[in-house]
Amino acid sequence: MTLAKQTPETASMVLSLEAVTMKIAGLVALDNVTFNIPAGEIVSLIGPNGAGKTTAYNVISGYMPPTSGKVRLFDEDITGHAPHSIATRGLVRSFQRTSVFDDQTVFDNLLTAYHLQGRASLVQSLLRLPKFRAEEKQLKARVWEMLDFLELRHRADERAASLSYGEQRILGVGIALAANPKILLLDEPAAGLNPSETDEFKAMIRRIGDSGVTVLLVEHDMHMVMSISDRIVVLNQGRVIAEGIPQEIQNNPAVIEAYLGSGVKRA
Amino acid sequence: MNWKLFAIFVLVLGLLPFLWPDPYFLSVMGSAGIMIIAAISLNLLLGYTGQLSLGHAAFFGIGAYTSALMSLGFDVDIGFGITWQVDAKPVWLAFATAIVVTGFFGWLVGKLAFKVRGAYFVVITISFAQVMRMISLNWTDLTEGPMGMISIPPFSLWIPGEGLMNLTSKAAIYWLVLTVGVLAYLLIAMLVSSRQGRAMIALRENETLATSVGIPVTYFLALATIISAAIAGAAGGLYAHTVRIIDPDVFLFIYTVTMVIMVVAGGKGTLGGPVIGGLIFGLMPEMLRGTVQPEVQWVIYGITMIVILLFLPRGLVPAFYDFIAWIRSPGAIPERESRRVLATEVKS
Repeated sequence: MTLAKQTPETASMVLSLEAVTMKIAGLVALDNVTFNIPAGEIVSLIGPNGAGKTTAYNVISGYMPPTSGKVRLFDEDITGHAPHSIATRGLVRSFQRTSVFDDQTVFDNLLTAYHLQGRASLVQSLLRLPKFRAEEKQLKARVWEMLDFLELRHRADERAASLSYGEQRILGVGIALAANPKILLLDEPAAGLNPSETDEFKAMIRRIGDSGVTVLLVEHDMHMVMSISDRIVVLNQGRVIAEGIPQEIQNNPAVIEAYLGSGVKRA
Repeated sequence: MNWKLFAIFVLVLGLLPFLWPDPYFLSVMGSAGIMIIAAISLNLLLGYTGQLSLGHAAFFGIGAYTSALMSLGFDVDIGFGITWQVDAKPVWLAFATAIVVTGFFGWLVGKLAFKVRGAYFVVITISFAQVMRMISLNWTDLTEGPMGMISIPPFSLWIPGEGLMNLTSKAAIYWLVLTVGVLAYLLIAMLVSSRQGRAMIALRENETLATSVGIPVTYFLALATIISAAIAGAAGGLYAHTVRIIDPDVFLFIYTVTMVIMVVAGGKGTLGGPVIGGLIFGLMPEMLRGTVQPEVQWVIYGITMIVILLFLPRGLVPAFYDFIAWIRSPGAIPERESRRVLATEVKS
């Protein structure tokens, strides 16, 4: 087996984890985890249940400060920063379940999500000064563009909660994209989707990747992972056990053991 | 926001003293109006950012006391042999000071309380109101304690041809309250349809998601509390200079409860909700006074509230909009139903 696609040392890293350890109430959820995400790739983070994938997401996006280690975004140390400040720096995540603002229309969902693009001050907003009006017009135009990108234009005026499950997931990704990320973290985006919805979703992730956004994906659907990932990182019991292109990962004995067990030896 | 409907509503309210010049009616409308302004301010916190503040009467009371003290002047011994003396200020300046001071207290409570959420926030706001009541009862040098503060000067206005006039007639007070009420309403209307307002609503809908798109939670919750407190303070200031007597009872829990009832029955998170709820629950006790016994009044008050919450749990204004939508297309499933069905689907 050859190491086909080694990432060159010189390539610019969007995100790097350096020896990140996370202990939650005595349990070591992440143990000395180190990996790098190069710019412009679609990278999947996989592993059996309880491997620490969601914890890794929480640490990266600032919802949990790690016990030790460093998280770097574009060579800047973001360890321990608040989620909204990390979002401002270009890293945005979507969530497993709660991914939309239920009671708002689809249009307002995206308009809210363009928060970071707005500059008008409170006074300008309250007095409806020209700057506010111009900005509002511009944001609304962007919402329409995003609705076209998501293929949800016909749903604009409906409440988010009344969309189908698949459409809600797509809207959830749209909300994350609206924050203009340079790197997008998706947490099990295809969970609960039927096969045709999954295909649409895959196509959308490709479109996102093609638009120059780096994508980090946590996903259980192996067909999806193998077909769209440029690289895969495998976690098991809080440790990185393998890293490489999809073909390598499929044949890696450590990965197979983690997923299927090694039978007699374990017992 | 429907500008045409808003303009007609304000016009009718503005002409009311000509249409129905009964001083008793106007004074009832004036005091209901002050409670409506307080309810509008509570709606920003409860309805739009989704934080239940059960100490809102504290901001109302702080506004009333600050405005009264500033307009009367005071000197108080603050220890170390230092006396803090403030001369009597013009009423409008006192009123503006009251708004700023309550805004500051709003920031303080917001900073303290938003470290904790939900039930803890409720408890902190209740305690805050109680502490304020204790201070107003016991710091007699400053507040006259349970005796209350009397002969608070009224607002005055320079009117061309008439000169400086004290706003003491029932009609003048009514118009004053209406003006402040319209300003408060417009402030909230402009706020909630702006980027800042959308951020606040996003916090109510889904705080985790809001943070992920870059909305700083503490900043917007503090901002909402400051604005909400400042408007409640303005309502308190109006109360002080129109009723012209205040005592520690302005901090009573029942006033907070009245505001909550107005907001919830009218429809929280809607602009019209506190106004409609406030008109109904502000006027009802007075309107019933001539016709039924006092005990029965409160029974009717309670039953109305229960009926509204039982059959129209989202409040009167959203129910009205649902009804309009239903008239236009009777076939469509009411929104509330579809949401419930969807919620159970997602959970299962």
